[in-house]
Amino acid sequence: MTKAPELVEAVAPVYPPAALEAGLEAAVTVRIHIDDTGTVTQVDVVQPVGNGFDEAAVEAAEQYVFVPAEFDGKPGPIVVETTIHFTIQKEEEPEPAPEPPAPAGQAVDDPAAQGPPSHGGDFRKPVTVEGEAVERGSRRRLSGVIVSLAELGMDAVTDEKGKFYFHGVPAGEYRVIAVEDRYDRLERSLTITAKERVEVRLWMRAKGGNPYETIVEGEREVLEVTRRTLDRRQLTSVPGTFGDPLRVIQALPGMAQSPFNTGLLLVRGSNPDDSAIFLDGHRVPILFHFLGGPSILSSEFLETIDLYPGGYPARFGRVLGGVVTVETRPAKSDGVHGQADVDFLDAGGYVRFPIGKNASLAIAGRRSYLDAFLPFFLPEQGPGSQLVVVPVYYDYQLRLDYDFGKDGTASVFWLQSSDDLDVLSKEADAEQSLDIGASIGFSRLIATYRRPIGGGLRLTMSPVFGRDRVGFSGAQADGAQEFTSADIVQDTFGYRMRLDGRVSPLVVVDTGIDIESRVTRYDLLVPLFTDFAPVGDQVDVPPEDYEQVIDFLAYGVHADIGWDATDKLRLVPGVRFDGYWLAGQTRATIDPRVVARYQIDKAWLAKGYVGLFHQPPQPETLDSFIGNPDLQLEHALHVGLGGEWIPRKYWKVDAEVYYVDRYNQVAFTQDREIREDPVTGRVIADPLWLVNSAVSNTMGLEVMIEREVTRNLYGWLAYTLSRSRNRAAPDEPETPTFFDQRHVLNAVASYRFDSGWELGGRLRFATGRPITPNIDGTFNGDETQYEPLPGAMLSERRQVFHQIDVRVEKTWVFDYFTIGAYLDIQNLLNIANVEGVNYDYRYREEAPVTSVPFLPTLGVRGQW
Amino acid sequence: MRNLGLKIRACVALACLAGAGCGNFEVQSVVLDLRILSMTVSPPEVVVPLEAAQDPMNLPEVSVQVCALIADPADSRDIEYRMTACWPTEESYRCDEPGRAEVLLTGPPNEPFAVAPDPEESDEPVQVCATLSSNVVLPALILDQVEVQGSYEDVAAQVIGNGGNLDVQVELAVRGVGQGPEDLQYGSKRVRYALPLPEDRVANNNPAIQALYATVDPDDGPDDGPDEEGVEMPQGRCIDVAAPLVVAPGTEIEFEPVAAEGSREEYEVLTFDGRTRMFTENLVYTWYATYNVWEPEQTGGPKDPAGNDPDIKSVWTAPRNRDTIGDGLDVPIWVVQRDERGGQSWFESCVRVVP
Repeated sequence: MTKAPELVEAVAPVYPPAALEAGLEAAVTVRIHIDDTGTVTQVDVVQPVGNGFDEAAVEAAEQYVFVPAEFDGKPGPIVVETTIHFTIQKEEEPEPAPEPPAPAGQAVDDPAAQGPPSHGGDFRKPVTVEGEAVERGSRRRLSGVIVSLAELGMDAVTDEKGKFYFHGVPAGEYRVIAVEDRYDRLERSLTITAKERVEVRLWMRAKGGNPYETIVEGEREVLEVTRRTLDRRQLTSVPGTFGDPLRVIQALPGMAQSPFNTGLLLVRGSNPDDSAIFLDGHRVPILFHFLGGPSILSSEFLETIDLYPGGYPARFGRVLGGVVTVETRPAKSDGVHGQADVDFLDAGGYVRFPIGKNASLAIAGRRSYLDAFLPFFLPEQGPGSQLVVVPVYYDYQLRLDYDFGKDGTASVFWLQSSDDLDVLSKEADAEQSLDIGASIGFSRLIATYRRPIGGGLRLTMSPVFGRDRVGFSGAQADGAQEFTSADIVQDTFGYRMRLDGRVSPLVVVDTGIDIESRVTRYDLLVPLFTDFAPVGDQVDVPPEDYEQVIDFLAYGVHADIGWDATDKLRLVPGVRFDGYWLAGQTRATIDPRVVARYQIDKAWLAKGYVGLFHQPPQPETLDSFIGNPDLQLEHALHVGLGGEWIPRKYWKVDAEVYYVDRYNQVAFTQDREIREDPVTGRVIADPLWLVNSAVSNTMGLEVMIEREVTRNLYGWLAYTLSRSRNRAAPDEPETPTFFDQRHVLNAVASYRFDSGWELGGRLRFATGRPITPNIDGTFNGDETQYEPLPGAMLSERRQVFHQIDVRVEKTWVFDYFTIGAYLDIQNLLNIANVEGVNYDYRYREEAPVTSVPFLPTLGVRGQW
Repeated sequence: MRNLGLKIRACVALACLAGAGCGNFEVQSVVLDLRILSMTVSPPEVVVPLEAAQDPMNLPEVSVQVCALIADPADSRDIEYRMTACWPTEESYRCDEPGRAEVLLTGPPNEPFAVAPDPEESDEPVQVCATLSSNVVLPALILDQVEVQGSYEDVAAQVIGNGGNLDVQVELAVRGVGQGPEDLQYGSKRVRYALPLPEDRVANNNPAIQALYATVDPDDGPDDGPDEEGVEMPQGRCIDVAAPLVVAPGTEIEFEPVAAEGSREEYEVLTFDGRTRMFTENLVYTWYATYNVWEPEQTGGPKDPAGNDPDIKSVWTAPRNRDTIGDGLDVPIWVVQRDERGGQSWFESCVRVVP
């Protein structure tokens, strides 16, 4: 064979609907018969796998069109073998499909000598050369690579394990040539002596660094209007994120600019507490380590990140604002693979490996070392003085997967995250010494069992146990005991059961139940000023122990039904019922919602939704001493209308106008309930502290112009026009919400060169947040200090925020591993974005507090 | 609070290191221009009969005098001031909320400002005072508040919720004669009319500073020896003091105030559930001078969070600059003493710095 057949037209196979609904995946190996015109004349399934995959693979392969193979310069018939993969979600392991078929090395007209395609030469003779093709850097075995012994015209195609064999090769010097579209052509010499069996490994270098896999991805059923899903490549290479995937969501439409890059979830004008993060279907309290640090989850554990800015499916409940869902990646692995990264702030690693035939394990961890170098930046202390600041954050994760085959899969995921800050200030005068500690941490143990149950349905059962902990302590250095402390522990037990899938050609269902139990314990040592009216600022109130336990039980039932009313219109009515046991009282609510999507033509789609949402008050607000146990649920109405347009391949425009009306929101009050004690006759003034008096609304427009990820390029432009207003009580004036930003624009683009270099940039622009200006000061004669004279509440705004971030990365690919080095520069132009101001003592002068200055970060990460 | 204040400053310094902006601002303890340094009310608290809760319009007549300590070291001029009474404003500490009642204490509406001579150079110590008559002020403010809140009952509930206290806010506006509205300096002080809750409630009295002692170069003595005896500072303005403390440039002086007997009173507070809590007043001292910063600027107060007793001493360092000192420089110093219930007094003295 002088030329391998070349695939010039391929048709992606249609994912079998029933298999998709059941969550089944498969790899179908087919043998393709190609005639001397390049036409596919026959397709055979080498080993049937059932569930409709074989038929789908054959149907697709029959539509392939080839430039025919050539033998001694003339076209001729050939049989090639390839594997078509059906995968529901993207995996890191590249299992490309459809693969370009490769020559099998034997002509069909020599059946006696014909062996499997991975065997070249006369199959009846002993194996002389045995080898495998692997990818440089990752050591992944590559199937579908055409391997030729040029001098003999002998060819083989690597099998699914990357193996190839040549039979009956006589002694001599040969050139081994390996060809695969996505990899550089490989040519190396090979010496074979008489009666020798030679083993050879062919290291294939991916073109342009790491290749991006083309995997047949079964689209998840769409039961919502707006879901922004991030591609894996986007997750780690967006400038200004330090390669942190979870930070990328802040560059999407609907997200406001977070102060000081702290990573607050500011979705469509909502307060950060009104949005929720679901990890594998269960809520977690935070996404990032403190002070805007990295995310609490290794990027290698991320499968998908979705942002639902509004109108989300009924399975996400007890939240008013937006929803971020993070799905972790199965530990499934064909060998030991890992990743390590190091930068100025921390170092982390990840490793995954198989355990036996059906199980696999993945472990990851990260720890900061700010504590090691921060002392070099602290001011020098005087004699007898010592200042130690120890900020430490760490996280680790573990995931164990087990594949029961047709009986489903099971996994256990463990996540632990911790942030600690300890400040020790010692002075010669012991009374001036201080030891302050603060910590926040949480853990989650999530088990998931998933299996098809027939009828197109998939059952998912997932219990979770978690503990959140917030601590603070203050003590005299070397003192016997703390003078103040707070230890707040919240134990969470939850359970979700979900049935989803396509139950008929026209109907998709997603239904389930979830239960969440939280027990929050407060153990405080603080001065309690809460039982009498303020006297002054200098009252001696010694710290007292205050312990409280608040129980929270929530149970919910949800259902979304996707009905394809016509071949263009899908309606998704949904409903969610939630019941609560809060601070000894019951509450319940039903939230109906409906979504519609209309496919106008191949390029245009219209969509809309309307629905009710709610959330319970935070546990601490229900405390009988410092809160109000009678607080009710907070509610919101979400309405959205938009469309999608695909003007050309790789390009997509998505736009939506929306309105969010929130009511019954909790707000502070100074009102007191005055009553007379019926027994003692004393006048009692009970402070209410909190009431459900606030309302707010947000309306806006979101536009996303996206250039999908291809081999070299990706990018998007996200624009949000938003207006958020708030009223704390009916008799209070309406003001902008604290996080209201009229315009937010994020433009991201990244280009990867074939040489392994990648260059990206990001532009951020956001209207300044509302502020209440201080226009003067007033001497407070009762406290002998000045008080600010505030102007109209939230009547002015900070300056416009704008920043350019860039990122340069170079990847080197070696046989056993890859190494990437990156330089991520935040605020390239060192623009002084004002995030706050300091005032002089009488509020006449001010100095700006600016956001992150020019901040380069150099990092290295390796994968094997 | 001294220790805690130091720590807070350290934290601010760390924040500055972390990239936050820090301004190079003037500090409160250095008086450079026209300033209000203290406001006193005599008496600081009036206990009214319990019946007043039912009929607040018929309170007994009580006159309360509000006075201010004003400094104006940068200019030789008379000053003019205006005092106004109003219902306490939540955030602004001013009496200029639109549509709200206010009562002028210093003159008629067409001539609200009173004039006082130059605080530093007048023949007699300046009195910047006004009198608040309960029969004039309270009915006007209560009626206005009834209109705002809807009923007498709502106003009464607010008073009960405030620990049985009806507070009146007095706003002081002061400027140099001839200056415009933009030059006004504002101050605010609370006058408290308290119901006898609990029944044996005793009205607060103003504290007083009996004496102020100064120790020159306090760190020069042996570390483990007894504290040096301080010298008693003369009271009065520099122009009035015949024998001020004389020190060399750069001299460190530690000042220690001595409170008059009975200044720290015990008192009971009504809790929301109808019980009482007993407290003892803590005296806070705020320090001022026309040159150089005090360290710390405020002393005294309650125990610090760790339970340590507060330090009431503060250290001031005489100027070193010869151009500033010239042949000799008189530096007025002030220390303002207050309790947490509105009681207040001040002590003025003088240090002469000679080359």
